[in-house]
Amino acid sequence: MDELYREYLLDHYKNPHNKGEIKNADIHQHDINISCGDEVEIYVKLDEKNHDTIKNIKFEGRGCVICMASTSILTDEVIGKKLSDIHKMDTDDLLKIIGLKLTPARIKCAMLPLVTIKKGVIEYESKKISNEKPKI
Amino acid sequence: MLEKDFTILQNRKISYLDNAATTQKPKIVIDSIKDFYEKYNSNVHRGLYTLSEEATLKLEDARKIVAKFINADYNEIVFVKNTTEGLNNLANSIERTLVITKEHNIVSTVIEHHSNFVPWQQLAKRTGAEFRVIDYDTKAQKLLDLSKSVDENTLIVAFTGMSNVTGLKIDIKKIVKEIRKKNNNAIIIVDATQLIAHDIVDVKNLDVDFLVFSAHKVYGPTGVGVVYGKKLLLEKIHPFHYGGNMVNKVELQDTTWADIPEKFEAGTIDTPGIVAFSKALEYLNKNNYKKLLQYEESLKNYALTELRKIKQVKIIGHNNREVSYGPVISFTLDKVHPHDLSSICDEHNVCIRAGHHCAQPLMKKLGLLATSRLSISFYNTKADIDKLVESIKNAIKIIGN
Repeated sequence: MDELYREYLLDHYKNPHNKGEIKNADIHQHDINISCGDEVEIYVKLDEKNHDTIKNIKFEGRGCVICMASTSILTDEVIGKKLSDIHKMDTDDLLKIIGLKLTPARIKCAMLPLVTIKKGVIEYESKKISNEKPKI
Repeated sequence: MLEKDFTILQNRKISYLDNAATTQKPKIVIDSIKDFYEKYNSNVHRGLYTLSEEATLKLEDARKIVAKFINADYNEIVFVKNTTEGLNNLANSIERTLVITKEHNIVSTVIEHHSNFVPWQQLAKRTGAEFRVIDYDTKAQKLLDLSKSVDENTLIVAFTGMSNVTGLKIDIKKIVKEIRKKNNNAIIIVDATQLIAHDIVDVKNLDVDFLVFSAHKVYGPTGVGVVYGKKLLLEKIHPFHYGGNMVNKVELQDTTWADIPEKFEAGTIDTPGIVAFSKALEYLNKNNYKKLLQYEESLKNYALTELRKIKQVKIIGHNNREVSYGPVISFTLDKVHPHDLSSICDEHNVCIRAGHHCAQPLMKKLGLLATSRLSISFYNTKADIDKLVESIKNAIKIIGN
């Protein structure tokens, strides 16, 4: 009974880590699961030298326990990670990190923060590429 | 009532309260599919041998049973895959029949399921016609006057008989009269997907032009839908799907159509499913459908009373005495997301729905992103409701403090 809603998960839900905003964030990305209204907004500050490592991350959001707890746990996990590592992270990695077995419908809830971070990283990198392109 | 006839309820030991999504099937329906394949399987309308003729007879008997269930004539019943396909086919058939221009308008409502909203919205977009969406008064909990949006340029009015989110029932007969007073040529289309499982539907009395529903929401199998159409209108509108069965004479450059309803039934249809569906309707008739519906109503009232005792529960609708509601109840729970409630219910073997229920325009109107929804059938019991209430209390204990 209530195997899904374990204590550590509810702790993250009730007292989320990394909640808040970062002013002048390098990456700022918002995403929503339209089917249930789960919503996550991610702010990332990169290391100042190479701009390839996550130095700090914060989030705002609202949604179900699975989505919010997953965001809290994932944001802890990615601090210090390279952007290239973020690209490699997939569903299995995330489920391992949050320590849950989920049904397909709930995987969508858990995946929202990772999907959002990935989108943000892709946007950041594509912007960087277009800035680096020689001007015609 | 009759829960012993639904083997899945015993096999899975569940409190199944997601009947608005699909109903469970009585044993007699499941057996009918096996029986058909074992004794009658062959393609209908084709073979000139006994087996095929018997299968055709079974199909046409089933059509008569479906027709009688809604007081239609048997050739006014077109079999399709489901409501969604039926409504899309209608939109496309009408588009092929009429010249629709930007002078015209198509009317629907904000409370529709996407399947009775998007086809009309897109038809309007394709043709340049104006798409008028009747608003919903969230305070009075009723639809604003439909007929006020109808004028001499209205081609189609499409609305639901019962909301799949709030359970709100629409006074179809009254609205049809009002529409006809304004414009006697407007084509009136009713989505009866929810209503058919919670009311006695009489198409002649309602005077609608088309009425569409799915078999699987009224104890039949999936894969079968029904489009009722007034004979003359079915004869007038063009078919949308072409192929076998729906033709009369095929020449190199032209084709004539079969009579109704075959004109709209291209290709091999789901005969075993249709026959099984007729068994479901016979089952309802045999068990006094009206009485089953009265029981559902009493169970709905029990559920409302029990839910109202929990102060964190907010019920959407169900408190306007001037309108009636079917046994579909949406609600939100303070501090508990509908997805979490659903998961906790699942751990108590209670099946309820969470989400926007394929009605995003209505959810936006209500200012909600998602709700929890229970929907009741006659095979549910007070014990099912009690288990739900217990699950809600547990969710509050775990998450909502």
